[in-house]
Amino acid sequence: MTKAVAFLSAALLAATLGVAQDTSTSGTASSQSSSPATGQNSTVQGCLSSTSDNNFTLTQDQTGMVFTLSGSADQLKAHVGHEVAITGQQASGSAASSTAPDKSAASSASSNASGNTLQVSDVKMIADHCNAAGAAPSGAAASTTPDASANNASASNMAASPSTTTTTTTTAPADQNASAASTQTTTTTAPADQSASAASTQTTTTTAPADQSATAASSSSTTTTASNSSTAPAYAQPSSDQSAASSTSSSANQTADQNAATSTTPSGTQAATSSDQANTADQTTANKKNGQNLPATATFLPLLGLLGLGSLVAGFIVRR
Amino acid sequence: MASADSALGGEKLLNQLTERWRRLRELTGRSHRGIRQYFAVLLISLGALLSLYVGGTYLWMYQQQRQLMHEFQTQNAVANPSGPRVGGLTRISIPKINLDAVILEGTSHKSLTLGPAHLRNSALPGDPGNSVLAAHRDTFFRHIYELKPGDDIFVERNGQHYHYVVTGKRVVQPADLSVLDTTSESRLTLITCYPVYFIGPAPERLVVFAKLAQRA
Repeated sequence: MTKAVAFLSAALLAATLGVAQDTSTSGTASSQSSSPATGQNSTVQGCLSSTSDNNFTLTQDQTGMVFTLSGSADQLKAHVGHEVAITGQQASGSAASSTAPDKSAASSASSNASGNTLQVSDVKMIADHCNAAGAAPSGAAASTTPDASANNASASNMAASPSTTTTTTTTAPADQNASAASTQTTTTTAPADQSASAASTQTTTTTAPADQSATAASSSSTTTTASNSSTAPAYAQPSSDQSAASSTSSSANQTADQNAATSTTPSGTQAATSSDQANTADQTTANKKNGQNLPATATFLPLLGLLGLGSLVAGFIVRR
Repeated sequence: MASADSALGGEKLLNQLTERWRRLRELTGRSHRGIRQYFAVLLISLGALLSLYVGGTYLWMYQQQRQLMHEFQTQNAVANPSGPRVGGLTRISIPKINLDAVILEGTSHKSLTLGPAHLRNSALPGDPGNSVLAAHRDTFFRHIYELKPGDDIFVERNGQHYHYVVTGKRVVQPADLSVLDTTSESRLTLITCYPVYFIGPAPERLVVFAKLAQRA
């Protein structure tokens, strides 16, 4: 009897611990610190990139701060171009460069530029690509893009067309702080299931004055080969209550998106403007930031039911 | 003589000790019985609460689904089936696994409890793009692991009938968002937890893909 009671108590305790552990690990990497203190272990989330002299840098998402990373080169090499959370000890005295995507981020980064060396102790991959804010130095060719929309557009291509091989070349005569021409090459391998249905190769060349994102559509020219894959319009969902059943009020937004997507099409096939790509990228990025994971379909009900029944049975046994 | 006295005294002491020990055991036994009774009541109360919560949740889900299905049928009966409508409910049925349910919008805890939930920002079922539905593995999507390529999935929305055909399935990590990516064709993606019979929160996701075969 005593053994049964002890066993049940242990089971209850273990279940409670299991639930607590799952809750603590199911978050979306929210425990990062925005400004790690010197000499302390801290976690910084951002985009990992490598420089030509085999150094690694991390551009923090929130502030645009650039951290120079030291140690664990092998581990870091595998995650170049990825969104990662790096845990390590901050050392002081090293200089850090700033390649922030916009002016505000640049000023933030430059004001925090001293003492940004991180001695890496652990690397955790968040995503296999960088978010728009921290994506500037990522990819096969390091680029410094003064216009965030260019990054958004490439993020859109990457996120919206899993089954395509996309090469995007952007030449942007900048009128802002740094004149830059960036070349980004993005290759996405499709899951087997998807590639069977829509395997295509897309090459997009965009020439746009970098002065701003959405308004650059009129002067952009896009050539698409075997398209109809990455430019699917974003579908606005009805903004109903969470418990409301699904409704279909999105047709107007959908049409608007499609209209925007068909402007300035030189080749007659389907093409996307920068603005449409930027919109899609924004939405995709928002999706991924809202939930870093797939919908949490895990449920505790069966477990709770079993525990409840177990408790009832144990209670009656102990009472005898 | 002296030794006899000492032997008598020792026996007396032994008796006293034995008596005290017996009383102590009685007291302890009562105490143990009391603790056991309290513990039993605690376990029964806890079990009753948990069972009520779980049973009540399933009952709530069942009633809500019945109500939604009734609303869906009312909508279809009243409206002109030939004309396009806006704002209707969406119904999914998978004959192979005896699933017939009304889809809820958003993958909140509540939506997932009450039915298959449509992921916001994914295409609506029937529209071009990737329409993503998620549901718990202990209720609506309990048997979707049995689906095989070629199996039928029917979706009904706004008087339109969509016939999807399963193209494949995959087990992915929860952080693998590639299954949510948009597609040019009409695709239906069903997501639930995996392993299906895992006790507690399952660590992976089972994803079933289907493509639109026919629209009526």
